[in-house]
Amino acid sequence: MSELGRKFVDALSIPIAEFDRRHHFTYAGTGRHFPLMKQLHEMQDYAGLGRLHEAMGAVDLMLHHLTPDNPVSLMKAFSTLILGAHWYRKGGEAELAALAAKRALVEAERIRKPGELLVGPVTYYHWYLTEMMGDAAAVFDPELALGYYREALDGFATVDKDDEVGEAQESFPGNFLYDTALYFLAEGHRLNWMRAKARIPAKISQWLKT
Amino acid sequence: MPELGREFVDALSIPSAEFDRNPYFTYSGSGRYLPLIKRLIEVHDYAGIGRLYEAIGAADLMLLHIAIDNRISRMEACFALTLAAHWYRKGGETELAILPAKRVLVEAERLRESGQLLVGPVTYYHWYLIEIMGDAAAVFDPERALGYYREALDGFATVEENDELGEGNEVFPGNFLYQIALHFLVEGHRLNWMLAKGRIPAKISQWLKA
Repeated sequence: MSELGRKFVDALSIPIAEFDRRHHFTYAGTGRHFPLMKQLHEMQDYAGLGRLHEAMGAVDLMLHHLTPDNPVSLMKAFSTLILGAHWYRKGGEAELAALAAKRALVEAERIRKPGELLVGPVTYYHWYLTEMMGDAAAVFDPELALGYYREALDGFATVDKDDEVGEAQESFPGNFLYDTALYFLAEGHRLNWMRAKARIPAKISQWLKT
Repeated sequence: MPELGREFVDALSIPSAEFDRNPYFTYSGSGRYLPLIKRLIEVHDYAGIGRLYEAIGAADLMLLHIAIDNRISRMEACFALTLAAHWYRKGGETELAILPAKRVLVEAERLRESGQLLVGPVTYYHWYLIEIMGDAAAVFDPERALGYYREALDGFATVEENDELGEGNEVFPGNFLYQIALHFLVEGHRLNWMLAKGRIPAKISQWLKA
């Protein structure tokens, strides 16, 4: 097992030069944990994947606190925590899942309130964030999740005409909710998850079923 | 504060050789984050210290999950999260304080139920663990904290004749609750905290007053 430990230690061991080079550095963004993630997935150690994502999310939130970056990297930090929550749930760790999800919501609510994400050319990130809050809430309160999803859906509709939304959906296929969808939701529907119009109603119906 | 970000990255960057050398390696045990804590105290960034301990505690729990099976290390990871909760509280981050405190109770309850700490020459660690659970519970439920503290006090009484308990208190003066006491509690009573007989009743009366 120490081989896995080594992979984790390696994932967190970042040369200072790499940190200095990247303006928006995050641990999750380096992808250095991918080999460990792959191995845990092969071993079906889903609780381990929960712990991995929770640790990476907590580490990135600390880093963000020390080197305030842009709200987008903060979003990545909680999307990692949310993934932690979902993996925990898949691994049967309901209590740990709920705590990680609540943690993500506390952080998300803070940047949503001041409307930071509603400024500038990437306002659709605000709706991504709201959608992510739905993903977090779904772990412990499906009703709360429905509220966020419906709000996100209405929000995406207001920017539907914006070409950038469409472009972003193409440019960030590995980001945010798609990650969650890819890992946890119906594999046969992957392509549909790329667009909010399709993926949010599908999530709603998924949560209603569970 | 980008230089603080660098210090954090540096604290987590553990060479594989160091990990290989120490079979019970933990991030909190490495102490590499202590200079950063000192800096954060100087700038009164208590919430930052909360985030730091939370990140380190989460990373250690991940490491314990995949690489180390050591009851003492698990206890230290719980303790790091307890410190996180206390620093968050000191920094006015009540919501963020509660979540790691609850996390500690989930993890510590498992360790306690396993009875692992009641085996071998350091059985008094079992009572330290329960005292730590009291410290975690105190962040959000003083009544529950009282229960743990009283249980710990009764437990310490059963091992009072054990010389190792006294030795343990001498050997680990900077460990466990003393750190909390040092940072958060009545400065004039520091020495009393060294012994369970003094420190737990004092904590109980402190929480009752608060």
